Amino acid sequence: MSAGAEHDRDDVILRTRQVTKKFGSLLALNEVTAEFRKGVITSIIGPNGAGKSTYFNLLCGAVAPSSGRIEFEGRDVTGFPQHRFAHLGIVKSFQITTVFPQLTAHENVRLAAQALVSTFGMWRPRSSLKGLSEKADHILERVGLADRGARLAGWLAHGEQRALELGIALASDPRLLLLDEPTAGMSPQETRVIMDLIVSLAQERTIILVEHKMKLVLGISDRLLVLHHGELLAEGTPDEIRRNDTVKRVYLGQRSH
Amino acid sequence: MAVDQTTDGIDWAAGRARGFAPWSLRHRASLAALFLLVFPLVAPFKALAVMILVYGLYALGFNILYGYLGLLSFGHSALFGAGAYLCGIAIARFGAPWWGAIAIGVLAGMATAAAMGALAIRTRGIYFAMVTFALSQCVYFLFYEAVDWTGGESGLRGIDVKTIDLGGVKFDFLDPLVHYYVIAAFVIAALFVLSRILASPFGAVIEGVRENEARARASGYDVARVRLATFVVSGGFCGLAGALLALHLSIVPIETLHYDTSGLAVMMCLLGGTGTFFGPFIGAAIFLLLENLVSLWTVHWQLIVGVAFVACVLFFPRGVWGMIVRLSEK
Repeated sequence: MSAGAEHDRDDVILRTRQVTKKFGSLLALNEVTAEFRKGVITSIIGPNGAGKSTYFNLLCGAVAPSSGRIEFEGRDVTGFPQHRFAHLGIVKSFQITTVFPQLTAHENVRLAAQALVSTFGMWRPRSSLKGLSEKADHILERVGLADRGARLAGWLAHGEQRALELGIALASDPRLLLLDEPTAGMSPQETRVIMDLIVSLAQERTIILVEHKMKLVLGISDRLLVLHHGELLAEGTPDEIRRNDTVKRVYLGQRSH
Repeated sequence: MAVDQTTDGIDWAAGRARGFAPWSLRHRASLAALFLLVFPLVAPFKALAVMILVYGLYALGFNILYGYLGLLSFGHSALFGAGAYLCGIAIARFGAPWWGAIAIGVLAGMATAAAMGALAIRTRGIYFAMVTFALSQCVYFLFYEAVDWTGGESGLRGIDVKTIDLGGVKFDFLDPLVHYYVIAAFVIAALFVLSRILASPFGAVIEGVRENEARARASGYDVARVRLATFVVSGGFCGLAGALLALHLSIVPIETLHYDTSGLAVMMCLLGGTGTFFGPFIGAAIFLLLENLVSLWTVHWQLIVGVAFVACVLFFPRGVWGMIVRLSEK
């Protein structure tokens, strides 16, 4: 475990302490201790089966660790139910596109935004929740779907659905945005657009990214975590990771391209 | 720009996918009310018309859970029956006023739903159906055994409501037309309430949970509580339907709680169109009309109704109302 030196407490938004996840006898993640600093893009990389997705799911609250602690802004959030994470300010996007297919793009974003305001309001019209529609319009514009608001999400093109996916996540006003392969299955142009968007989003919030495309990750990340066999192999800036011999051996060297 | 589209689910594209024609959405409750007011004047049998009201409301309550939230319950007879029995017991055993008894029926439906839901809500799919089925059987035997209160096998008798007193004006509840309109008034009120709930923020959450549970959870919705709340709302409508059944029949047969009755709700919804506003009533009407007409001709009416049901499911997978909406769009 390397460079992850002690930083000022205020600088750290999310921290894991010795988190371990077992699935039966399979040790998917072994005592990973790491810090994620505020306002930067940190990427989690590693070969297939390295435990990236498991780690990601722990960070966003989708699964609870078998042992260890997860702290968000200094607060222990280990074992909180998933739905509370969004209220804390942690939101994830999904690797496989999961929008609300039978709702319009606008409704998708609006519904996500509504979670912060009202769940059980049964006795008033939806329009009585002020500002949600405007917020949804604003977010759709931000992710480049301004003219797709009235279209059913299930009818959008794949790239558009990925953008909508980001829009839904943004609707929760996250301070920490967790993105699981946001460009999965996208064309190079679409990937470019989404990456630019992610970089611009990082100006206002912290982003943690799990991504397969190495070049892309090295290009936009401020920091990288490398997982291998469920353990934290290395941590550092893209340059440091590029030069790291162990990383080269287990990961970069293995890639065919 | 898209402000109007989402306020009531009125947007054409979204409405299409949900099986609604837009004109029918905006005034859906009023349309239904209008129809129900005229209905008895053209229906040949008033008693059948009332049964369509009661079972339509019951199927509507079931549809909230199945059609809108996407949870298939095989235990809704417990909610319907609890409403009927508690309303009946309030009148027959305690001499409660009719309106108070109806309120008790609604609360009984909701309370039963809350109890069943608390146990069943974390299961999915077939498991949810099985757990609700098992719990409804528990309720069945509870009422079956409590003979002193419920009359057991022979049903609850003595629910005598002869006059309806509205602010000093007395109506003869035994007059078929009055009888119909009193019950229709409650059904119409229920339709407005449902329409309002569907158009509310909670209505949007229900859609979201049905569409994508994982996403709804990640967005910050407590899916288990949303399901439970929906189950309880569904229980309220079914409880009301049960209470109205008790008033209508003056007795509560034990069959009300039988699992056949649970199946009936599924059948009526599928016939009419699940997840549509009018579907449950149309399904109830088709089923009860078939039952009544075919049983005039043969005692094996269930055979004919069964074949009709299979044909319906095969040829109108979205139900009769779903089919009508589809055709009207072309």
